[in-house]
Amino acid sequence: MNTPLPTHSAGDLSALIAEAAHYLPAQGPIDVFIHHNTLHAFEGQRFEDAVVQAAAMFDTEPFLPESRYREELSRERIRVSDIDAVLDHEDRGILAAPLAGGRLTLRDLHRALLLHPVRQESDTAVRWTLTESNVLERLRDDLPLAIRRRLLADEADADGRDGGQRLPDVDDEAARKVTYARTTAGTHGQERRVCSELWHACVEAVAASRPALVSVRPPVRHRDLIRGVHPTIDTDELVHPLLIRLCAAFLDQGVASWPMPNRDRGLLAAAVSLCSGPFAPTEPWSARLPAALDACRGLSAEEVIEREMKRCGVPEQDRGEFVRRSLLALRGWAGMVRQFEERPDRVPVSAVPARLADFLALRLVLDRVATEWAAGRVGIRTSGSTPVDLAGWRTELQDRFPVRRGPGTLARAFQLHQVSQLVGLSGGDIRGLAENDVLRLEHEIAAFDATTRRRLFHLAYERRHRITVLDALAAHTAVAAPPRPAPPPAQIIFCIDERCESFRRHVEELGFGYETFGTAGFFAVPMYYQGLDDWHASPLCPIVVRPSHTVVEVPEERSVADHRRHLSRRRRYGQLTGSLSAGSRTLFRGGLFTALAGSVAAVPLVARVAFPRLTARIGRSAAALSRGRIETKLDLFRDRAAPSLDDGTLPGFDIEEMAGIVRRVLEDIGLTSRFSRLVAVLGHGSSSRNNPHESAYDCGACGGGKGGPNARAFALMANDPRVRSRLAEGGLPIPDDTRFVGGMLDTCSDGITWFDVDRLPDGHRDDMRRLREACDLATSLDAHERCRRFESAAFDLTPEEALAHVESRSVDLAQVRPELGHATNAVAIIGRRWRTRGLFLDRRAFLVSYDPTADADGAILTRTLAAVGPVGAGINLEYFFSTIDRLGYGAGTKLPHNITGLLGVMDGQASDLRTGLPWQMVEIHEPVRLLIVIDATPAVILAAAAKVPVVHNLVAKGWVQLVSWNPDSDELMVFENGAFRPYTPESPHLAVVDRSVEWYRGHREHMPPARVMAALPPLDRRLAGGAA
Amino acid sequence: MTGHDLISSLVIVQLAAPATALAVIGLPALLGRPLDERTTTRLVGAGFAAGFLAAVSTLVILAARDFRPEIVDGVTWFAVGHHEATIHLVADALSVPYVCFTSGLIWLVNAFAGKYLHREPGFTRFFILLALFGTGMNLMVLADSIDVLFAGWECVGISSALLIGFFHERGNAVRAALRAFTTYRICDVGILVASVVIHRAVGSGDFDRVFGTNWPHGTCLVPATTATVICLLLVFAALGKTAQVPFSGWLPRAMEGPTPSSAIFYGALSIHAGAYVLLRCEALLDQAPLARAALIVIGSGTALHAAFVGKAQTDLKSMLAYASMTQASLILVEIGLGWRVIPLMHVIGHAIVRSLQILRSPSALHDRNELDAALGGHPGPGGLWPVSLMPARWQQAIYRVALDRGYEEMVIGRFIVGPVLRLLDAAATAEKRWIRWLSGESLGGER
Repeated sequence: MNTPLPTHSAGDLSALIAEAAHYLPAQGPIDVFIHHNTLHAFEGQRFEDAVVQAAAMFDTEPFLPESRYREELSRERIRVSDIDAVLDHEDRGILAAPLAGGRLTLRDLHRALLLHPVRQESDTAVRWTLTESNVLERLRDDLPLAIRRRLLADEADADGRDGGQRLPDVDDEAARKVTYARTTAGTHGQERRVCSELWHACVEAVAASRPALVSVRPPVRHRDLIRGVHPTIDTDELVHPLLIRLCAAFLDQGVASWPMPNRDRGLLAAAVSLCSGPFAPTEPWSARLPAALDACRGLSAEEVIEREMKRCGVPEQDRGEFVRRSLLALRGWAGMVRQFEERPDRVPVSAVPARLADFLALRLVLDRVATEWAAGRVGIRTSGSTPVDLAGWRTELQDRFPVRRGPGTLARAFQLHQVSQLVGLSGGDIRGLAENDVLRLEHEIAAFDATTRRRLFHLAYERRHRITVLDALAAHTAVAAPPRPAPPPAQIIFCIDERCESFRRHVEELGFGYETFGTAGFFAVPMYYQGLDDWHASPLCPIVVRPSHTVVEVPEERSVADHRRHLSRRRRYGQLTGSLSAGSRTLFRGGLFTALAGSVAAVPLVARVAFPRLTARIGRSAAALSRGRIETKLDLFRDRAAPSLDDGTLPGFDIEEMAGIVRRVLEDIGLTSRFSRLVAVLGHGSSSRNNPHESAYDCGACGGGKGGPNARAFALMANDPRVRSRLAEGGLPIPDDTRFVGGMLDTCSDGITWFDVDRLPDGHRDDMRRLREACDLATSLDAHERCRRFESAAFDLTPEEALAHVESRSVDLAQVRPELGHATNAVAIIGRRWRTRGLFLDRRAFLVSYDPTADADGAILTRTLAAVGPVGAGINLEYFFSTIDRLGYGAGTKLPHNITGLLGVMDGQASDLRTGLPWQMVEIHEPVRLLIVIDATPAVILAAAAKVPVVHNLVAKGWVQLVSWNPDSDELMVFENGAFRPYTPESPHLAVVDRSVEWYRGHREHMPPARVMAALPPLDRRLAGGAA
Repeated sequence: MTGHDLISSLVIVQLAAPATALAVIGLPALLGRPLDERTTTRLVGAGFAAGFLAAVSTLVILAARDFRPEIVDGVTWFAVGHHEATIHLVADALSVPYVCFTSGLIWLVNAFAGKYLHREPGFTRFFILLALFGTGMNLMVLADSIDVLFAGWECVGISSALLIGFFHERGNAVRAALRAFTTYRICDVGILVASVVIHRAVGSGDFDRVFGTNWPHGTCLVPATTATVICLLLVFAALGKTAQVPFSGWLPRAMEGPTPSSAIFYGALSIHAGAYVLLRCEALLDQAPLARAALIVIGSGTALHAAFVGKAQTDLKSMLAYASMTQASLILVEIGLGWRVIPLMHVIGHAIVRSLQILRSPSALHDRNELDAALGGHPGPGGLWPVSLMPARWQQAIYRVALDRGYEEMVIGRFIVGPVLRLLDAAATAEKRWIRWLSGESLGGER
């Protein structure tokens, strides 16, 4: 214990830990859920390589299961033409290489293996198949006709009979079936001979050669080595319950009413002082734990880690891997410790001094104690107090680590038999092959493994989606026309969120001539915001920004007294409910309360379960009644000289900053002239009950917050006369009769809250009333469109019923899918709205307003990409990976989720923290990489992307798909392998409907784009616009 | 129709309706063609709604008749000499309100679960188990003989264990289910032996031969010694389901199933099944001071244990599990003290409060934010807590005990489970040797 430790390694070790920490989930406490690329650690690599590497590291899936892609193939979501195109794309001369003595090419082989399933099975399974099915008597029934004929004809030729059964070339599916039946009827015996001849040839061919063993590098952790050699012993199962309990107690944000002692000294010190005391754990495996922890007293975490690694005999070159594996074994908790360490500002309540090194040290001590116990279990005894020689045992385990064997002869022969049929090699052909040719063929089959096939399938899957979208865009250019010069009656600025797409479309469909825009939903107002009902300020801006301003909502003078009354009432109510809920869990108060008044709880129980919507309405009315009418305002304006607050932020914005913000947004969206009398700014958020992941449904551009306050602040800024004069000086005059009004859209209940409406001048009251009516209509239409996705909503709902349905979803305790969040997001279109207006995009497209004609140097595009690129890609990739592997990357089903420490969810009572998105959120998601279409020339796009390293990397490494939509020529170009290549539409056809509802009614599945005539500006206006 | 007939048919409905729902959704599933979600939920809902309404009607009639108990004559299963096993049910001031409460709660939870489990792969399985649970519960409550009660008791046990292991692809869930099941089985021995004792004492399993069924003023019809033996056995049986020390380890682990089932089992119904059985046999308890003392000692011990351990739990469901355990233990103490109506009220009140809390446990973050906002900040742990007056070293040691759940499992594992397993191992080895010897094989070279 007292041997001097090497001192040089502290730095190395920190580097090792930092490197390993990179791979941990980057999800912080769950009350602020921030979408990010699940594989952020791999962003430096090409997407296609990264997913495979990550899968190996995390033991997860790189793509969807192959069976799923085959289903998509059979229902034509993936077409054969996509497979061919993807193969052509792969082709770099290699695929043309001849195989089997020139009888086929590598491409033929790959194509056959993609179109037809051939599974690699074990010898045992093959033996069963051979005896129990007729695979040796009948050719595969999915053989293409030509190949089938060739195989049978070969036989006929060999027999010296003429090939009189030649059939005409038939491609038609129905005809093929008929001819197939006829063929088999007539040639059953022949088929059997062909098939069994091929089988014998295959058996002989593979028996002549012996493929090499697959060598596996033994793992570095003792636990994995032990599992390999003694499958029934899993030391992690012993260690994790205790480690989880300690971590949960250490990080707890207020569930336990009795906090862990010594938390302020760090996890390791707290655990050491707790577990090495007189009351020590007495489970068999941990009998030596108190002593082991006692020996850590006074040592730093780094020293403990060094000592443990030495003791376990981890060689120098394996230390990185060892640290990484040890952390990844319980990655949710390790990641949370890391988050506490890195972003203490994001910790909800008590930012305990968490350090990943502490976690690792503790884990290694526990691991070692459990390993020593395991050694005893398998019969390694030590005499007296000498510790088990773990280093020696490690070497022994490595030697004994089972070698993975390749497939046996039978399995190889069977695979060859199946593949030969698919590529049209008969028994004679196989016999004619040289031994090397057989080996090569086998090698190529094996090399084209499941991961490769899934990768190609996935590319085909994405290709079909891309074609559907790009064809629609190309076809839509025929009718899209710029708006007429006269300003519309009102303009509405939305968030780019794809859930707003349907709302915007419905507003446009109403035919009032309203125009819509999209920009990142924090409206360039990065702030800490404290609402009237909040007890502290929280950030409302993208995660990458740390706000330097704080804005507080305060009551108007005339409401100050009301507000004070409300506060004291609310405090009393809070004290009552707080002490009731805490008291019900105690011994005496709980006994009294439940025995005497418990039955009263039947009222809320029945009400909330059986009548959720009514109960919520009553609750809201009661709250409103008690609250009274409290008018509020934002404390927005800051005098230049005002000092900063205690937390270092500035109280509000000064005129200069406000003018900058307003200018920034208006320029971004290209709204610099043609101002309507009324310009609405709509932020969004989502409210739901019983939903730990509630924040994940909120606005991504607000860092998982609700964007209403930002919209309100923006409208106030844009209405301020001082700001306006500053803007006019800078060449952006806003007409005096233009008024901005802020609001918030609830994407779950489809309700809109407007802010500061009574501050509008009298002359604008009518405009506001009309806008309100239009938006109310649009909310019910939007709710109706959303309901098509919910199985529990009938198809024949009216828009009003649909609105009631979504409203009740948002307040129902039993509802695990209050809304579907960003599920189905797939496209981002950055450009002028008129180019896509009238297209049904199925709530799958982020719509970012951008006017290339006002951005010759690409400066606006650059900052738009910087704001939108990471947010959009983060959302898209989080959904992507949570869908690809629902348990490995996602959080699994919500049903057993259990909130722990108010910072995350576990499955049941002792599991790893579940990060990522739950299954209910991604259930209907189609994992495709975000298809970003930009209304700009390739040159401008490349220049802009190059200036934003994050975006440039995402594009260059293929984490997003990029398309240029030329503003002048309407030409589409797809970015592939480092360059834009022209895109030729596959089909000019685009479905045309009058209204959205005609297109989606009766469908639950994803719908391709269609043209919605009602959403287009009226014909006369279009002509007028065109003439101008 | 006489009042008796009317009550009889209503009581039969309380049993038959859930049982029919169980059969109607269970049989198609057995044939591999489960009904769709909506039909499944509606059928189960209808079954329990019918049971609930029948129970409420019975309650009204009973109230009009001054709560005079009505025995519903069933059939005699078998009779041998002086012994007979009959299937009798009873409608009285205990059973009927209890059925109102159980059926009503299951009806409600069924409505909740219909939405909560939407599109979940085990949807039908959940509702089959829920219907089985409810049917068993009503059977147990209405039972007028120890045999019928045992049948209901077992349905409750097996469906609870299967629902804990609902996500059977997860190791933790299955282990927790197995643990609960084992605990239940060990304690079931109590009822089984009690049944033998009752049959032996009065020649039948009928309760009305053991005690006068005028709840809560029954009279004991067997000698005090017999009553004590029966009561001790029933208390033993109740320990498992009520999660009393030393059988409490399964409860916090049982939080692996879907939330609605957690609410039903650990908050509301399953955990109070033991209390119900003791209330049913209250007349015997009156004559068995020893059993009452045992109840008071074990109950108060567990209540303290649970209240104390619960304070250190850091996840919502474990915290609520210990809160349930606290109140369930108090209820046992109340029964031990010889109270009748208060424990019954306590059972119902506690079940309702706890179900609501468990059903809305995913709202914890939301609730916390609202509370903090109302109070204008974080209240912090605070509160009067005797441990905080102790020296730091003690506090730490005691905290460790609480965090490790009172070492209950470790002690049981080391001193009971371990030795028993070793004994069984030894027995198995001995048996193997014996068989080899019998079959003439050599003793060497085994294993």
